[in-house]
Order: sequence, then C-alpha cells, then structure tokens
Amino acid sequence: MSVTRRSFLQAGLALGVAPVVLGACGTSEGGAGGAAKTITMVTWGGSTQTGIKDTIAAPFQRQTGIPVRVTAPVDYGKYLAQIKSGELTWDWVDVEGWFAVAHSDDWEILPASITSTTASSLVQLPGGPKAVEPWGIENGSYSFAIAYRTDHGDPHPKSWREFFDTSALPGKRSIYNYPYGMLEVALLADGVPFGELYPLDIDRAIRKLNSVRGDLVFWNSGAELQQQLQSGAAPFAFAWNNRAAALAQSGQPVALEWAQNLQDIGYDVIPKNNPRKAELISLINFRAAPENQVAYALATGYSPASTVAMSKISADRAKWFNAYPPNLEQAVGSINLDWWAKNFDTATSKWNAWANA
Amino acid sequence: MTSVQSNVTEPGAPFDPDGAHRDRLRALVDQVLLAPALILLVPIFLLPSALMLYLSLTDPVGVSHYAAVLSSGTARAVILRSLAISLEVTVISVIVAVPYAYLSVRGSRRLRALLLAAVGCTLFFSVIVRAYAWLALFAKGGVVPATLRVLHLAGPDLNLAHTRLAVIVAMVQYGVPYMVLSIYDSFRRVDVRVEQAAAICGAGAILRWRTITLPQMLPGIAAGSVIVFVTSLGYYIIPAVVGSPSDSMIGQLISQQISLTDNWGLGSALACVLMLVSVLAFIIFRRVNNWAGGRA
Repeated sequence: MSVTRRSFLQAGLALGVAPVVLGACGTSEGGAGGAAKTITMVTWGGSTQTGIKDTIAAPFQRQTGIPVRVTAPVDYGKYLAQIKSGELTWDWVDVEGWFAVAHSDDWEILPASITSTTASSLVQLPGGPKAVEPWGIENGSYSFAIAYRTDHGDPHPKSWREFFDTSALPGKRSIYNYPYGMLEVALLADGVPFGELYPLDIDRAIRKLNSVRGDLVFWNSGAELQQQLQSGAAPFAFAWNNRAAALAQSGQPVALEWAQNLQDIGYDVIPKNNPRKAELISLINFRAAPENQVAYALATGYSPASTVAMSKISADRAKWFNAYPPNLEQAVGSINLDWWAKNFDTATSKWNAWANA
Repeated sequence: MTSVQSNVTEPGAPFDPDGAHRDRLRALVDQVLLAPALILLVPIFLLPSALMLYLSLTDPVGVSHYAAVLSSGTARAVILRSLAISLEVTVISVIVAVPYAYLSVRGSRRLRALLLAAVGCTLFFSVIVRAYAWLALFAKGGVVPATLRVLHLAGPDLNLAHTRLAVIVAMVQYGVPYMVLSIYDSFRRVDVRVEQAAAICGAGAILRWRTITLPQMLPGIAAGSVIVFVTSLGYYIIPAVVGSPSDSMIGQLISQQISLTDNWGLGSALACVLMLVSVLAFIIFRRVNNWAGGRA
C-alpha cells in the first residue's frame, strides 16, 4: 500500500502538484541554500498553539538563533504523506501518544544523552506507558475528565456511570467526536472494570454511547468544547482537563470532577531523515529544561513531564493539572497506547460509521 | 466566429481563400486564448484528479474501494444525505433568488444598485468566518434562539447550533448570491416590453408571471442551480462547523479517510464517486437548461 502511496506522491511532486494535493503545507522556507534551517512546529490550535509560540518557539529562537514557525492544525494524513515521501516540512508535530507508538519505526533513535539523564525525574502515569522510549521522550500529559457547569443546580456526575445515566441526571452531554478515550469511558460506564478494558470491546462501547445518543452534543476541537461549556449548550462534558481548567481560571462557572479521570501521555519524536535533526535535538533539550516546562505548563494547562517542574508550580495552580498527585491518585488509569497503535483505524472507522449515521 | 463562418458558407458568396485562412488564424487565436486556462487547469485539477482515480484503483489494485463504498451503509447514508441537503439548498436558493433577481432587474436604479451591492458584499466574507458567525447566531443564548424566545416561540434552552436547520440556512446563504447573479444575468437581457405587451393584451399579473416572466428566467435558474447544487455537494466547512456528526456530508467522510485513518484509497474512491455524482448533476441540469432554452 505504501509503495503506491509513495509513487503517487512522487509523481505528484514531479509534476509540481503535491503542494496542492497536500494542501500546500509551507514549502516556501525551503528556499535557496542555508535558509532551510527554520523549524516548523505543528500543533492543534487554540491556547495550545499560543502557549507553544510564547513559551517554546520564541524563547528557543532567542536563545539559539534558530528560527521557529508554529502552525496548526495537526493532520495525520499530511504528516504521514510527508514521512512516506521523505519531503518533511513539519519538523515537530504535537502527535498523540498512540500515534508516536504506532509509527515508532519512523522515528530517529534519540541520543542517550537525552534519554538517560532525564528518565529518572519524569512523571510516571498510573500503570501507564513508559515515560522514555528509545525513539521518544515524554513531553507532558493530560487527562480526560468530567467537566461541569457549577450553576447547573442539580448534582454533577461523579463517575462515568453517572455521566452516561441521563435519566438520573438529565441534561446534555458534550463529548469528543473521536473514539480515543471515549470508548474507554463508555465501557467503564457499562460496568467493565478498568483492569479488563483492553482489548476494548468497540461495539459494546458504541452501543452504550448510542443508548444516550439523543442527549449527546459533539465537540471536534478544544475551542468547541470550551464554547459548548461556556454557552451552556451542555452542562456536562467529557473534557480535556486543561481546556476546562482554562475556562474555570478565567472566571467561568466551570469545574472539573477528577474521579475516574483517564490519563494520557505525549512524546517528543524526530522523524527519520530529517535534515534539521540537530536543531530538533536542541529543541527537545530546551523543552526538557524544568523552567521551560513550567512556563509551557502554565500557558497550556498540560502537565509538565518533569516532576521537578511539577513541584515548582504553586498549589493553587497545580490543582488544575492531571499530574498533581491528588489528581493522579483519583485517576482510573492511563490509555493503553499499544492497543490504540494497533486498532486506531478500526476503532475510528466504527466510530465514524456510528457518528455519521 | 459565427460572422466569419457565415461569410464563407453564405450561398452565392464568391470563393474566398482568405476566408479559410482567416478561419485557421481565428482557430489559432482561440487556442492561444485558451492556453492560460489550460495551463492552470491541467496541473492543478486534471492531473491530480487522474492521480486520484488511479490511486482509488491501485491501493490495493482492483475495485475493492468502490465495493466498500457501495456496501458501506455509512457511505450510502452520507452520499444520500449530501444529495438531499444539496437539493434542499438549491430549491430554497431558487425561491429566495427569483423575486430578488426580479427586483434587481425591474426595480429602480437605486434599488438595483442596493440589491446587487448586498449580494456582492457577501462574496467578500470568508466562508469560515460566516460559518462561525452562524454558529454564534444559532447557539444557545444567540440571536436566533433569543429572538424566538421573545416571540414566545421557544423556551430558554433552545440551541439551534449543530442542527440540520443551521447547516441548511448557512449553506443557503452561501448559495443565494450565485443563484441571484445567474438569474439576474439571464433575465436582464429579456425585453421588458414583452411583459408590457402581454399586459396591454389583458393578461393579469399572475398569468404574465406564469407565462412570460418565469419561463424567461428558467435558463438563469437552471444555470444557477448547477452552480449551487454542485458546490453544495462538495461542501466541507459549513456542515463541519455548524452541523453535528449526523449532518456530515461526503466531503467530511473523505477527509476522515485521508486525515484520520490513513486510507487514501477509500478516500480517493469516495472523491471519485463525488465527482461522478457532480458530473451527473451537471448533465441533468444541462438537459433542463436546454429544454428551458427551447421553450423560452
């Protein structure tokens, strides 16, 4: 399959059409000669993009003189096409943990200087994935948790079972239009203990979701999640903890229920054959420094990867982070990246068949 | 072109070798004039389309992706939904655009300037901005639900964002300007004295409208319908932003195959089906147009 894909892309490149097919993903900085050292960072948009710009890209550029560009959104199709065609224009991509694991053969083995020195001081998620792999290093974590409006009157769901029990707690539920994490919480709600979740019973999870379909509204991005919580379109949401925390900290009547929160990790990786490998290693080193992690965490709401950085965040801010020890203790577990690496396509196809119906 | 040809073919005209020469020259000029469009279309449209067709049949080799499209309940539902939404949007656009275009042609100069400027204005706003504006207008607490509430037509919890209604309204707003401009362009060439003559002969307003005005608008309506229907079919942004997953259209399904599940073959097959449906729609509207043109 990848052979025809590659020949398709190469034929396209030869004809000069690939930038059009791929949505013109910024080849202009290639230019003549040495100008090609600009690092392009790609993330999901919204406050994460602003946070990366202000706390990573700008200070890194000031410190090293390497120009950094930040764009959005992440598109796995475009990124994989770049990796397979060898025409990389996205240097650092804010990929989810499962994606990093699924494509681990496509990443450079990181220098031991990075992987050995920091390993001992990284946040370890409950029962979860390794913080350091030969090809990647933890760059932070977040949690899926129940967010709710505090002005709703009725009690809020305190478990995923209650979240799906729309007769006991009436009201719309805003959920992620994406199976990742959603299938887990649907199965937890259906009575599957966390220890028996994997391999996920996709059909059972979707049946559970379908049983409350009339009460569901869907979000596709962090901004949409925030808009739905803010407008009151739904009093309860399956939320990224950082996006709900940002609303609460800006004075909105929104809070987080940490019980049964589902944790997940991200990795910094470098695609093989990247001509800017040296620059990317400097970038990863820069990101690993605790003081830079604190700034990034405060700007984006993602937990820092380093326990040192986490301990430097004041208690009133720290309580909004998934790696804050009391929140870690309430976690139901972490997403199984190996299962998702193998089953993402199946799960997503089934999810879309259900959601699009 | 026609005048040159008529010089040559006119019965009894003297033999004119220069005429044939001029014809060849004219054909050459035509080809040169077409060149910029071809230079643009071949690399950025025709070749990628051909590659897409190729990919849909070779990744893996065979028609398995087309079989998957045909046997998938989701694909069928989404394609039928796309057709239904596009048809609804086209019909509503016609209903809105016919009186609008009529007033733009027959109204006073000032009214015409105002109406056409209003249509022209909407073309300056990006479709993304408009989609998010509609989202704000339709969302709970937005202008539309608040107005309905003041009129006692809705309760405080009404949320019209992420509904089929929101998708249709937002897409109609996108379609109407094209429909208006298309009808306006064909209708303004119609002689107003035909209507006056009918009135003098005693035809009432309804009879005049039915037998004179509307038939003369039909070519414009048919042309506008092609544009609106075909562009609506491929719509991606509007249903993605203002709709819910159960309003998703074929463009979103294609995007999911390419961006999420890395299934370029199936995505390409879906795109080819979309192109085929668009071409079919184009042919059907052309037939209607010719039929209307024959009648007008």
